[in-house]
Amino acid sequence: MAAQIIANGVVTGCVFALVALAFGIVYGGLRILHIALGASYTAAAYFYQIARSLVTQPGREPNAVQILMSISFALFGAVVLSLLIEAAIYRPLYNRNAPPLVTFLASLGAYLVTVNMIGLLFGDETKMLSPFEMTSPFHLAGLVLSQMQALQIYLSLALVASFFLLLQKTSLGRNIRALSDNPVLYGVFGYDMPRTRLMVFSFSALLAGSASLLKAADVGTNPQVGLSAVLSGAVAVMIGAVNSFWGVLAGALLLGIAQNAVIYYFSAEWSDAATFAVLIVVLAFRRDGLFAPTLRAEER
Amino acid sequence: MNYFFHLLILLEIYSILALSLNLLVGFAGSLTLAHGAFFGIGAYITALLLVSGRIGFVPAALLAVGGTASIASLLGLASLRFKGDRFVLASLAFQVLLTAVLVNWVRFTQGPFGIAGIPRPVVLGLRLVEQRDFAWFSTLISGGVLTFLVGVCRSPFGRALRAMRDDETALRVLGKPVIWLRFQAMTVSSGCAAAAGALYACYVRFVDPSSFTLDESIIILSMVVVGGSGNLRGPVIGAVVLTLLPEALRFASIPSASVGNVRMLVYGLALIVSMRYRPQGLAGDYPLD
Repeated sequence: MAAQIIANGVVTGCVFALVALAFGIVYGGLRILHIALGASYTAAAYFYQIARSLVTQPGREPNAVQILMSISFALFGAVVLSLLIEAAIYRPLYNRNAPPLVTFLASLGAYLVTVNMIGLLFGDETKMLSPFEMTSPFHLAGLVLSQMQALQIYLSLALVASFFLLLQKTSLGRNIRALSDNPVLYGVFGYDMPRTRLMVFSFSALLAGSASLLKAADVGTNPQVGLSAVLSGAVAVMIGAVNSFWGVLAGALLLGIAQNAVIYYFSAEWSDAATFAVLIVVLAFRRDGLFAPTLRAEER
Repeated sequence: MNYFFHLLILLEIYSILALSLNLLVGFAGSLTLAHGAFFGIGAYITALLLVSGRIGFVPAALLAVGGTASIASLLGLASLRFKGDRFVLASLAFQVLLTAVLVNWVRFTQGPFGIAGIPRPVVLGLRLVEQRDFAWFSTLISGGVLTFLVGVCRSPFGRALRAMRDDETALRVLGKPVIWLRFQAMTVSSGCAAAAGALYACYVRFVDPSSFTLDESIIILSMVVVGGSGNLRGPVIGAVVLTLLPEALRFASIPSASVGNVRMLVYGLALIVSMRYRPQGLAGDYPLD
């Protein structure tokens, strides 16, 4: 049973990893506690529903092309929303050199506005959006995984890997890493900070939107999912290590396994509590996260 | 007329909440998202004690204040270690954990069904069933709590907190126990929030977990930052504005199912606009940092 819990935890953790990386590039690079990422996360699933109802005839199941079109539209919508939040809210605050907590509160406001707008338009109840019928589970070395779980693992690993390559091998990725490393110096060297910020927000929304669709295809969606997803992502970043790709990934997997263990041994209601219990325990012992390099006092 | 008393009682409860959160946000400079939880712990302790029927309102409320302050000192421990973003997350963690406890510890809190039939307090042999009588009572209690809070803010302790917010190192150099100050601020602030919770439990006569979620914490925090933190009028103005703003929606004939959404939408907009154009709040003298 322990192996099955770990397997389920890894699946959950892979989806968390997408959100955690999305939160991590914004938090690491721009020092924004980006709660409004939850807006992109929630909106992606609803954009998908809008697109699907537009491209398919009523009463017919969508075919593969239509699903792909809807997915692209949903991700595009999430990115546009994220850029809108950056342009209308973060950028003016950044230009005014606003302190981080002011930006955080504005971000919280942006999240509240988006999510409650969605609630007003679509209702607060959970909506299912399973794209196709999933049957026969996989059996692998004594473990049982549903097809949806397998799909989640494949797609999120593929996304994580391509994001890793983007960060490591392209000049854009180098720019993003440089920005995370030292935002002030990045500007001093004359790099185009506004443009890099836009790229950071686009990729962050892209990753979060994909995670949202993967999750929604499995268990449906409601306007409240965004916050708990972003908080899990934030916790994964904090317990892993800010600005460390592998640290964030490990944090997300650890969190996924912890949540599934709690769901199995207690109940699903405690899973959010488990997230934060892990956060408090880890931060109490290692303030910079489990996988943070040990820094000298003057480097902090 | 009853509606007027209802508004008055709400305003009193939210003024206590906003002014006590101000002690943490505006004075001690630690942004907290757990005030809804303190409010809830106070309300639940009062509700459980009053429903058991063995003690009256005042001892129940005092026990609630003491109990909440001791539970909050756990979060106070966290505040010793974390600052800035990490403390925001730690306080959020506290809030989420509390909601989970209220929902899941069914044997003690009756879970999502909540606790109903909380008796109104008896004063001078008269049970305060009428709205008007309870309004007098709550004005008396909240007047006391507010006076206490104003006294705390004006005391040397309040001045030390402001000094810590402005320059912690300097205060440490002067030999003030910075860590202990922060811990005390957390305890006093949560105790006052619990007093507001006690009033709330008696007034509504029903408590359930949905009244003390993260949304509630966000609402109280919005009152402080929109009104303006760091002084005494700001949070009260914030409480008045943000309590009356959604009440105005009541007359705008919005379907009751979407009232909650519209309310949070208004709070979100208020947060964005005030952070963008007036980060020190309507009447504040200290911009957050």
